[in-house]
Amino acid sequence: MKTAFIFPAFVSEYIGTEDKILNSFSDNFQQKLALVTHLTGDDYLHFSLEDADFTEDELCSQIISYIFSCSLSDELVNCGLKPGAVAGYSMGLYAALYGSGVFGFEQGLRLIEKAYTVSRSVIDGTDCGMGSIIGLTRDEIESMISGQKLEAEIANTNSVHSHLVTGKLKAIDRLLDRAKETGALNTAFLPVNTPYHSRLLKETQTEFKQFITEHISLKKPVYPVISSIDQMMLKTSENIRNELLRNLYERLNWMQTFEKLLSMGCTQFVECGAGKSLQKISRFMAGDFKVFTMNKIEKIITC
Amino acid sequence: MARVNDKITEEVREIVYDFFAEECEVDVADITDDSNIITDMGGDSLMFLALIEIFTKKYNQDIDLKTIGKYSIKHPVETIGQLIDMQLRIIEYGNRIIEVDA
Repeated sequence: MKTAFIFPAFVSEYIGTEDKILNSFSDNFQQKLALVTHLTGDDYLHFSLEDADFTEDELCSQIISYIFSCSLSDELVNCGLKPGAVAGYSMGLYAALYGSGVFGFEQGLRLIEKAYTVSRSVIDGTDCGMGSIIGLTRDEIESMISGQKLEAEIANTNSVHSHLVTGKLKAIDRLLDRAKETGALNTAFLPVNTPYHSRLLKETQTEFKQFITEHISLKKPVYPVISSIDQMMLKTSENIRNELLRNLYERLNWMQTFEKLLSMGCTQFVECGAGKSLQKISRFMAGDFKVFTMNKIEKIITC
Repeated sequence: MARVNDKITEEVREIVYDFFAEECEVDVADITDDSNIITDMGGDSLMFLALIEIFTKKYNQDIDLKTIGKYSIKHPVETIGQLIDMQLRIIEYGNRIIEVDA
């Protein structure tokens, strides 16, 4: 049975037992918390899932999600479960690349921090955000964006009727209102102030590319990595570098990424991180497969 | 569209209860019609969408999701019981659900 590891982005809803589950494997999770505490100067060792300082801070929530994902990936591989393919959802790309051996844990952390700071620098105080629209198609959303001339765009297609949008805050606000009036089942803001996967961040590429070139050593992936942008297999360090750059300002298509993994013969998926957001999205994918979240992981490993 | 009778009502109730028990990892015996989908069950709008798709296939309906979205603005669903009632109305009236409501 071919298993895919899929890595979530920053997590806003935790199962609640992630830390206990990881601590039951080994001290890997605690070691990573200690290392990040040492490297960032922030106290991740005493991180709590109820601590809003972490879960509501955009950068902290990305970093803690990265720690959860990398720790689980390590434990699964140590238990003998190796992925036939991996893919990262949005900022889950960093953990996916760590999990496939492209760079070390610390380098991934540095990438997350740099991507965040360069993105914030590029938008230069402009109010931006992201939102979700459930119940409308891509064409219906794009029609609203173009019809209203909104500085917004689709960031990701999760399924035929589930999308994320990104852009300037006022435009997102208007778009969500318009979507609701049009008949969306639900709309919501995401807890971020950065317009990820928006052309507003295209200017990040020069500085981010320079940072990657100077500070990050990219190795060939040990496991196949699938791009969430164009669903191509990332085979070379050049492919990986481009994916890291494009991941900040290009539209993703998670639905097609999941379909690509299915077409590669993956029938078992591990949501390699905290929460169960990717399992929820997978409900709308056609095919014979199962997605295992961290609290169900004992069903597929033996150690 | 289908005439809603006791059998369909019971089918819908059973599917909704089983769906939330599995998705929210709770015992079906702990769910009641008054259970709040968000605060008590930890549910979300994707579950609502998934259920609509389940019933659309089961009752072979051609539903415009936007119609349900517009209906739900006037009739927001918060509890399991309200969700079952809305689903039964969708099965009975299909895309006419708003006209019938007017």
